[in-house]
Amino acid sequence: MILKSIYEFLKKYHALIIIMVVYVWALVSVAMYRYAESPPGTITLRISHWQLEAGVRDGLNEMAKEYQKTHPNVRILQEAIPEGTYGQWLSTQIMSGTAPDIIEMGFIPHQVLLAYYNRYCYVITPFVNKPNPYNKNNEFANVPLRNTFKDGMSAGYINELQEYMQVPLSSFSVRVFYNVDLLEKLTGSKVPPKTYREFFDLCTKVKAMKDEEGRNYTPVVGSKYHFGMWEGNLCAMMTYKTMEKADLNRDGYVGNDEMYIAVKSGLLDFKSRPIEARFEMIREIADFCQPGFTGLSRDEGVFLFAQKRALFMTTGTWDAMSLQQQAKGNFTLGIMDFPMPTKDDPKYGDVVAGPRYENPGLGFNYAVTRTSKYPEVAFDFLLFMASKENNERLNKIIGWIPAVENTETDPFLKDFKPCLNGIYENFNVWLGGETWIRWTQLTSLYQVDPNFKFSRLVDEFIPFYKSQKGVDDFMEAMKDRNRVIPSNERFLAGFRSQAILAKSPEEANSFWIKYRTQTRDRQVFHEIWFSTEMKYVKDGPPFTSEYGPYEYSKEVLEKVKKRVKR
Amino acid sequence: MKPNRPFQIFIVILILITVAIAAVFLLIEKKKEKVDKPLDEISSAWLQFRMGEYNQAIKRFQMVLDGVPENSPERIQALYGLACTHWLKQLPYGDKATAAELFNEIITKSPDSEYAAWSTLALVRMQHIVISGTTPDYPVVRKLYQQVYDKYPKHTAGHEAFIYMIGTYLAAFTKEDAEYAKGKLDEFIKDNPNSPFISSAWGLYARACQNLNLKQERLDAMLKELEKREIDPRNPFMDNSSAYWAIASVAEFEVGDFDTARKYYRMMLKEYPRERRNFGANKAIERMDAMEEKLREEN
Repeated sequence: MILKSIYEFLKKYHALIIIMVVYVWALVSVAMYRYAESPPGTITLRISHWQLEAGVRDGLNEMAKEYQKTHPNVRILQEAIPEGTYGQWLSTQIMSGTAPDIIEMGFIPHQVLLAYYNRYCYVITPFVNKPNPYNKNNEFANVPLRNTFKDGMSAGYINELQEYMQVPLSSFSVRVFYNVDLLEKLTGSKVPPKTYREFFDLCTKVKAMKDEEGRNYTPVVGSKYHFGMWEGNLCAMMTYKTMEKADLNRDGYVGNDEMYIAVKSGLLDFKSRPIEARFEMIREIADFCQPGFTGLSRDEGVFLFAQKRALFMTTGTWDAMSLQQQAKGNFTLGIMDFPMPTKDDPKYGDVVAGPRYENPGLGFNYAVTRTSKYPEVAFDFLLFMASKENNERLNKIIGWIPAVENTETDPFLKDFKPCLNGIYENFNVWLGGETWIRWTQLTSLYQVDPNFKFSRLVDEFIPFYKSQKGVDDFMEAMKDRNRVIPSNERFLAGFRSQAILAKSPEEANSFWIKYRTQTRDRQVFHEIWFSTEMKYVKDGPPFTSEYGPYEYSKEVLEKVKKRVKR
Repeated sequence: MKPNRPFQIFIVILILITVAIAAVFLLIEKKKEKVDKPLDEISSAWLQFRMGEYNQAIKRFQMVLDGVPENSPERIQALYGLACTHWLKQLPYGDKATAAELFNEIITKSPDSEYAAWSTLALVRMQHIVISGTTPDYPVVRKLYQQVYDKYPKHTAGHEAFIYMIGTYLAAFTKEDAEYAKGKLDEFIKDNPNSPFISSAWGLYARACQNLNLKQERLDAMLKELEKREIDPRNPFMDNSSAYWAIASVAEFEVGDFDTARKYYRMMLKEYPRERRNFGANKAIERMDAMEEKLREEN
């Protein structure tokens, strides 16, 4: 009778029972797994980033594993979020108070990012002048943390806040990658071009060649992502000499305000050789890209390269390992510097003053959040990854360049020493929204339409820039500059409080220096420079087209003459 | 209807118990509000200020004010923090009226404290900083800055007021204003050779000379500004490279003093090997050498 009722019960509810058993089993398994992963007393750190490139997750896992050898109660979990959604994801996490302990900061508008640093991240300035304890067995044993980085840790310093907020872990630069096998097949040589002229001639030749299926080869991979790198790292260098006319405050750079004043006052002709050369080069490189490239995404560009239909592609060294993996067994990947024109170049020789300046920037920056339950452990893990040996190891696994001095780089990337004596871009027409839209429309058209000439680009842009919306944008930009004065006052009040309440004279002195310097730069001289620019717009700058900021006046020449004669 | 006496007694007891519990809680809360370490609380309030949590900062400063004796130095510190927070909590204006009231309270209650000096300066800054697109009432602001300097001639706040005042004259671009500023700076530099703002004073002096087209004097002032310049060693963006470049270019193109120009371009090359402008510095040295060579040949 009992057996029969049990049988009836099972017959009736067997499905539900199975589901319940499986559910309980799943619960127990998860609980046991979690327990095994984080037994009581375990410190679990979460680290988030957007680096989905090959090797990054492996590198961080390896670092976590290594760290756990000496810190057995620490577990490190990483959350890799695609860059397209990273900004929204991070904002949501921060707002809800559930942000990971260690976060890579980025993909958020700059002003918002500053607010996030200020409110939600720990200041790490007190630690940067102390040696990294994980360097105790190497030459940096007594060297302050910041001096162990290739850039003096400037990538970790947030100038607006005047504080170190993050630890950089890798170094990056932009390079040209090429298909060695295809180069040999098409030209008979494996040697890549060194100068722009060689590059131009080679691309012209390749463009006319067809593959087995009768399709034209694409000399240069173009896409929204890739073309900007050609423009910024090669074509933009042609504008170095605009400094001679437009660097009105003689600080060595041409800002958007100076450029506007110089163009508006007639000091700088938009059709002058440096600017014209930049656009001629853009035209030439755009013509080597696949048709309609401006509408293509990064992945579509890479696809063409991986299919062995394109010869050259530019991207950052952060993509080096991913590209190597895609090329493995398929073709040999080569890497070269941007082919700069030389002084004897028939077209660009007159504007190229020297090689391209390059000081690789540090990145892969991590900050510790204020919501972290274990901020000391989180920072300690960052110090661990920033030690000489570990940073070298981390970057070796990822295939990136280490951020720490005296470290070995992957042989593939090793040959590219930074060029610290070279020219840079001196061109900036982006005053504000209206100017930006107009400029982008016209330059996009210029890139895709060979019939849209540089002279037409200038003729259409300059009236707009000089006397229509450009004026409004300039005035609005000037207003924006003044809008920061009250918020600077806030920062200064903060520094002043830190100086007054400092616990040691050294600390107080450091804050007072910061306070006085920022008072001078951000407030006093800011107001004077603002008035100066408004005066230049109204009355014109104190230079002429004959006597620019970097040209000798007659008076100076006379003086020098007299002195030499003496 | 006959009243239910035991029920009434029960209700009264219940009320009494409730009142007693509430009183105990109130006492506990009161005890909690008493500030044991007012300085730590003030530091924490300033931290909230720097993080942009102005309501939290106000709450904490207020807590200190409520929890410390009337004439204690901590009270003045908390008042100053509270005043700054009211002023700067909502830009561009904040609650200027409350802030001014609090700053004045500090000046009245503790006229000899350093917070009185900072409060006096803050009252002028509130008038100087105006909404973008409008112009401050410069004659009034200048007069007030001068008063702060006259009242606190040896205090950092007084010197800062002087620097701000001179800045307003140099932003005006008239010859008279530049001459006036130059004269005032001359006095200030003589009277305060060790002022914490001495480097800024020399910088402004150089600017006055620029406005007056006094080239050699400008270069000399720039050299003085550099000599007195303070560097925060913890700030990687704060170095002398820009000062070297500025001195060298003024020496080369304004004064024709190639030796000074070469010296500072070379200093930049040596001290800042990663500096972006090094190419320009090398070219400048070549340019000056070539120019002198050419002139020698002509002679």
